[in-house]
Formats: sequence, C-alpha cells, structure tokens
Amino acid sequence: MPSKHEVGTSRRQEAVFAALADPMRSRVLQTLATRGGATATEVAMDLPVTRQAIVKHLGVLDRAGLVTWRKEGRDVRYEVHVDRLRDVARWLDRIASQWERRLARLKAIAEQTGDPS
Amino acid sequence: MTDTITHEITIHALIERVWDLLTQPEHIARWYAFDGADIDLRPGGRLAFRWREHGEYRGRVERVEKPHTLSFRFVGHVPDQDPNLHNSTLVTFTLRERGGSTIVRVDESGFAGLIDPTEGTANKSAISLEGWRGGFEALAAYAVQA
Repeated sequence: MPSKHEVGTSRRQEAVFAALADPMRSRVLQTLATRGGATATEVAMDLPVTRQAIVKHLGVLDRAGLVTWRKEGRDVRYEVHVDRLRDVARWLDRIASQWERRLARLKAIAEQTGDPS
Repeated sequence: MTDTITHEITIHALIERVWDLLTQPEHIARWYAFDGADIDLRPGGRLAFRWREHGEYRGRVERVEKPHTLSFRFVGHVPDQDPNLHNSTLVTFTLRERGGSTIVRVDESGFAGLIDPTEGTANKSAISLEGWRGGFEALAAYAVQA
C-alpha cells in the first residue's frame, strides 16, 4: 500500500486524470503543446468552442498543475507544464513497481518447498 | 503511456497452489495485505485488505473463474471507501499453466476514470476514456521530445 505521502500524491494525480478525462480539455492541452504556449484567445481560434469555455478549461488544467502561465501585457500566456506530466508517468511507474514487489513475494511463498498451503 | 499497468511473472508451482495463495485470505495476508484480508469469492462479493498503518482498503469482486481469472474493483488510494466507478481501478489476475509452472499476470486499469473528489460535480457525461487516452498519448509524446 502507498505510504501517507504517496496517498497525498495520488490525490494530486487524480486531479490530473480528471482534468485530462474531458476530451475538449485534452484538446486545449494539445493545442498549447502544438503552439508551444498560447493565450486563451489563440487556443479558441483552433478549437470549436468559445474563448469563455477555453478560459474555464485552462482554469481546471491550472488547478491540476498541468499548465503554467504568465502575464503578457493584458493577456495571459499558458504553457504545458511538462514536469507535471513526467510526475504522473512516475506515479504510474511506482504503482507498477508495487505490483512487481507483491508478485515477487507471491512467487517466493509459492516456491517454498515444504510449505503446507 | 496508457491507462493500464501490467506485470507478469512465472512461478514454479502448480496453478492450483498459486490460485489458493491469490484468493485465500490467510495467504493474501502473507504476500499483500499484511494485517488481514477478507474476500467473498463470488461476483459482487466484498473484499477488504488491511494494513495497520494505513487502514482498510475495499473492493468488490467482479469475476471468479477458478483457477484462471480473478478480477475486482479496488479503491487503492483511500481507506474505508466502498468502490464505485469513479474511485476505483479494476485489478485482474490471469493465471496460465505452462509445464508445471504458472504464469501470473496482473493488469490494473481505469486510472482515467478516477475523479478528483475536490473538483465537485464534474461533468461526467463529458468524461471519456478515449479523450483521456488521446490527450495523454499526445502529451506523453510531447514530453519525450521536449
């Protein structure tokens, strides 16, 4: 099982999964990736939804830590937060290695000779 | 990067023995749920794994095909919660016999379905695994080249 720290981490990862579960939000993020950063107005030019909707999606992505932003005059420019994605990849790796350890223990027990089970 | 984690191992023991270790509470406590396990081994049956320092983690049995398949929904990240589609993943054990040995494969899937409880009422109809996958794969590719 995860340690307390990892439980906290997984909660944060959930926000990422939830953010990416919405197809339009995924497209917003892809658009940012393709453009190498963009304002809400620029994203709205590429996608069939209003700028207002884009702003909402960017808000969710921001709370999930998937984008970073900075002010640029009157605009806000958003970029993909690549480290965050690597973070999620590492989280999945950790779950995989937990299974690896559990199955290794199962194997060790199963292969013990003279075990009555 | 996909929504499924898979791991496979070859165990030099008969499939019936591995099945018992995988499904009997007293054995599960030896390799996984160190402070005890309950498992009602039939579809819809309750499952609980305990670790003294973390609490009780619950699940619900989906498929039981002795000695080849056991699958269950599992709330692996929050204690004391009954499983539903938005707080649990699907864990599937598949056992195959090969010349006196047993190949055990575990798949854990459904991370994309996990909903952040802090986000309130997410628009569930808009949530699609395909959307998540597409987005994630594109971004994983982006992360690699960046």
